[in-house]
Amino acid sequence: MNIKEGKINNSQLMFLVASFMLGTSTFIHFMDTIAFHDSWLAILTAFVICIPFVLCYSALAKRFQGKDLIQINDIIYGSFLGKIISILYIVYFFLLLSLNLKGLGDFYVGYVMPETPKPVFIIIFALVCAYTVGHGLEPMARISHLTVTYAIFVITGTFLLLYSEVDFTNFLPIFELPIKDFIQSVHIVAAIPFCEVMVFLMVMPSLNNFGEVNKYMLLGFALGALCLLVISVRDTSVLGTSSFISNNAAYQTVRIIEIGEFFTRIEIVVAMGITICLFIKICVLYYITLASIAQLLKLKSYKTLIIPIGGIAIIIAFIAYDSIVSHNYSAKNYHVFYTIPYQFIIPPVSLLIAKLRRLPKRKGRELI
Amino acid sequence: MIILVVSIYIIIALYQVPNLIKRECMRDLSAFCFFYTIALVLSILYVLDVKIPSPISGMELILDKLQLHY
Amino acid sequence: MFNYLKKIIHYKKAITKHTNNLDDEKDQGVSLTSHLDENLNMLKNILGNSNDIIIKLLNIGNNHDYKGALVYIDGLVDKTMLYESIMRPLQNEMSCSKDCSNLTVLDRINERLLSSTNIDNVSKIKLLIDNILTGNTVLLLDGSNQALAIPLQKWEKRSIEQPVTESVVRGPHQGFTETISTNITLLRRIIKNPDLRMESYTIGDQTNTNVCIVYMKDIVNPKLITEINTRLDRIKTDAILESGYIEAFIEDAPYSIFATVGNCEKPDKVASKILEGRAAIFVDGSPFVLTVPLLFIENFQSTEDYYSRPYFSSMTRLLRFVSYFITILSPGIYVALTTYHQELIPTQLLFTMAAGQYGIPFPSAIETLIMLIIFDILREAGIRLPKPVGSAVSIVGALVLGESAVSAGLISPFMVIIVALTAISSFVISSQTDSAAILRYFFLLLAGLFGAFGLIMGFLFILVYLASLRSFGTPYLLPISPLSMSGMKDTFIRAPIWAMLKRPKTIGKYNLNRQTESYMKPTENNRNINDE
Repeated sequence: MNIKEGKINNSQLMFLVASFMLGTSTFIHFMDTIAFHDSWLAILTAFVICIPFVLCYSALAKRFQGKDLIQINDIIYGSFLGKIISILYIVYFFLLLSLNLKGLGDFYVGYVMPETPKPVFIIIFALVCAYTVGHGLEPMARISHLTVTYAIFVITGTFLLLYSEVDFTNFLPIFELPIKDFIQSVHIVAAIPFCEVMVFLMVMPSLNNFGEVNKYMLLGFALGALCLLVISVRDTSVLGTSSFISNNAAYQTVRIIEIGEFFTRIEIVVAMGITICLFIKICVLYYITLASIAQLLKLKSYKTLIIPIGGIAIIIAFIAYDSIVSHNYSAKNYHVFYTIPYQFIIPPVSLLIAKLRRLPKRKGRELI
Repeated sequence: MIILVVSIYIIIALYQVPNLIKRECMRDLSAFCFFYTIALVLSILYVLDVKIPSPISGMELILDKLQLHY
Repeated sequence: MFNYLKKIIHYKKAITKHTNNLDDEKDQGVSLTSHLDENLNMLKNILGNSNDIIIKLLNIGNNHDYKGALVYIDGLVDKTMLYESIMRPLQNEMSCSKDCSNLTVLDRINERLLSSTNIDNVSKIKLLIDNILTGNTVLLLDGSNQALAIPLQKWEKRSIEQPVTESVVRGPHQGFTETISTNITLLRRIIKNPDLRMESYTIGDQTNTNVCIVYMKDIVNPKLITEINTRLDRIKTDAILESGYIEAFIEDAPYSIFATVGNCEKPDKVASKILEGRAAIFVDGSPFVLTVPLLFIENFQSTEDYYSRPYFSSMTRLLRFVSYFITILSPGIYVALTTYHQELIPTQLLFTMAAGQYGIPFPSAIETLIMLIIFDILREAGIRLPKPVGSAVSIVGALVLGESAVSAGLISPFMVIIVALTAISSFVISSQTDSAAILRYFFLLLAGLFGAFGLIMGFLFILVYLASLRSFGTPYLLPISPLSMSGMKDTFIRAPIWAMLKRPKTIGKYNLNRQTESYMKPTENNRNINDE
């Protein structure tokens, strides 16, 4: 049975991971309200903490070559417990998909086009994503390097244009916040943009070569983290303490840019970057949700489910939170705990069990 | 509005179900019907302005009970 | 209901039976008899009495020993040659004693008398008819059940001219013509290599058009040729009138607005594509030669890029990309800015624009739509007209209509600038004018409905669509996505010729090396060659 169509190569995986992480860049600014001007430190700490986990995900994929998360769960935990864990994972993927769709709608209503109703954005966006997912993994993998290139271009460009506004005294004094807040902000960064790359356990089976998966996975992760770090440094150094007022500091920062009194409002360029990175992220999540459901139910193809799942995801995105404030509150207080088992417990435990039980057993040259 | 939503769903079903029947994948068909029904019910409820409980609040409730939150 | 089904089945059976019979007849064919009169009667039955079919009876040999007949189509045959090299030798110089059997007479004629080459012995009526229809002259002899097909084709044709679609300043000026043999000769003149191979096809039940696949045996991917063969074999149609018909039958994405089969009119361009590992499809009757696989990037490359210096070529290539984006996006961006995102327009400009827009009765989306439609009408009107009238139309359209529409307060002056810019840019990428025209309206619609969000979504949609397209197994957006660093040498810039050591990776992978590093600085001794 082959649900997944198309193969991707290592560098495509790297760009997919980076652009997946960049897609989250707009949604972690509530972290600033906890860590304030030390958020760069939080990102750096979270990066170091997350490296072993990312390596654990890629080691798992490498150990079970060509098997996705659902199959791995079946092998490791047996068919009953495995199925339950798989269903929990599917719910997690599905929630991520809905919340990201909602985030996109919030961003557009909040910053770009306040007069248009939010459902319009979400539905149109979901339609284009559904179209992309219908073509399998290949098209999104193929355009991921374009989105990353664009994002890097925008980040460096805005940094250079804002150079006159940069004030590094904004970072002082370093590390003056209570340790509990610091832990919370590290946890947010680790759980929301960084270790969400765990979902690539559903993508990595489509790799055509598992030899260097660790390296490329880590490279993509580092690239994404670096971009997030640069964005955070730019925002704090330019806006100083006022960056914590806005819900989307990146957007506010770029609004400052003026080139010769003519190009005064180039934030639409940033909006574009956010949209296309988010596009990759939502497409990956959409694909993963569909692929895992199809794998769990042993369907012939995930394509039949595209529209029903998309429809449910859209409705959940509408009803998930009453307001953007409750969204942020829930994300920083509850969501981070909700994701702990999926990101930090189950994959390492799986890897440990696999090592102890010497899984996967080989029958001839075939994996079972 | 509700007519629009329902007609969109009917068009989708008319497009996909015959395809599935032709290819004789009953598993896919039943999975499709299951999720399709959920989607249809949710959409109709949403359009009718019925308050649907968010799954996230359920998650928050459980985490609250477990004292797992900041 | 069941009766109806029965009827259908019955009907289908009858049809297959019928076609089977036809096939049988074709396969066996009716052979020629050894009586001249019977053969001629058969021919007349099949060909009818069209007045361009000439049956010329003649007595062969200086003693008028044998009766024979020449059959040909008037207008497809070189008459002087016919007289000089066939009729005169046959009638005057033939000396053969009566004891030769009739078959050997025909052979003797073939070997001794006729000077033209490529003469075929034909014994089946169907082949005979095919030969006559393609312009060969057929010699029938009484008492022989064979005939000679002598190629003496000559018809009125266009001479080799500079192509209209792809005129260049530097580089060869000749273009293909409507005759397939001339076209293939033009290509042979460029690639003098035994590896240049051709495979001929006859497609079209009624037109029997010659189609020819041309490729370099050592460079091309053999699977590509097999794929083209199967796709050409699949074609079951009445008529092939132009290579566009073939294109429509073999392309990967028949519903796509982007062409996945390339066409060009210049032998040097076709040669360069064949040398990169592509295959060309020549179609008789069309100066447009198809090349597969086509990459999207090829629309932005022109032969002249490679003949001029790399810096300027790179610049023009970047300009082409910019103009493509301008031509598809600028009306959409204008509408999005004026309708949804006025805050993004610089303040001073905004005041001027508002002043220009004052009193205009339409919203800017409608205004743009009207202007674009008018532009398309003008373009269509200008193309088909003779040149002097065409320029008159464009003057009337551009100056009079545009100027007076602005002064009458129907449209804003900015609109005229946008549409003019769009129009000029659309001619830069001549091979994508068709898709650009559609995309422009697509983006205009999205911008009018959803502003910048619509534009971004439309752009992503097109990008994903292009990334999912394939042309004969090759990803359509190739050097850009999936990314190929070596292909980048010939994408946004054009690297110097000596630096492009390899063929494009996916297309020419069977023989990747184009050249070794052969760029040499002057040697030390020769550096001062002119110093005394």
